[in-house]
Amino acid sequence: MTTRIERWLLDTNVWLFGLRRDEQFQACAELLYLVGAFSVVIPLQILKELNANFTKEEARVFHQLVNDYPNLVELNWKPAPGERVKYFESRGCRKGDAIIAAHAEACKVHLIVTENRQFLQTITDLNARILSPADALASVKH
Amino acid sequence: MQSIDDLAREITALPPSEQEVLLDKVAQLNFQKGLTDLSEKYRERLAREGRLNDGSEQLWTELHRTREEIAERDYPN
Repeated sequence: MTTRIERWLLDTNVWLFGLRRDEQFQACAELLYLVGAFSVVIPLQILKELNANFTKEEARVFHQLVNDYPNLVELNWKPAPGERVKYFESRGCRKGDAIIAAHAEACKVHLIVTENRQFLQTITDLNARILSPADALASVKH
Repeated sequence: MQSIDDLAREITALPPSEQEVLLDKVAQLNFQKGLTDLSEKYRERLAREGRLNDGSEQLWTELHRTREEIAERDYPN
């Protein structure tokens, strides 16, 4: 029996706060350890942001890890469509957040998880839901 | 402790659907182990650089700056 699990996009802040095991953002770490209850899509913008925060060795370990588990984590190297980036910018997103929204749309993710409050409040017309890590965690646990 | 051969025999005796669940669970646990190793490495480096306990405001500033720098470079208009 195969159960279809949802595809989620975890924003860079979720990855980094989770890996730091930052006490202020405990839900981020808890969520990373629940990958499998949902699968994760990592689009190009987030890959670039993670790489900017990692050393070469950390980036190597990260890429090795995600490449070893393609059923859990999908890397998407396609640039976000420029016209959709412009569209989300016109809806009040900063350019970087507009790129994430355009990626989420192109990758057909079910959910974006982010601690970014501005992002949570600005985007209202995306097919994907947007939740904070705490709310996403609660949705997995129930 | 069970030998690998015994364990393999036990697993192959399971119905295919249970084998699939088991293999998914093993993959998930291995992924978690890999995350823990990466997290340790990352935290050790941040601690060495004196950045592990940076305030959240500073982290947010850096995250926003990195996001917008990459965005401007990739989508200059």
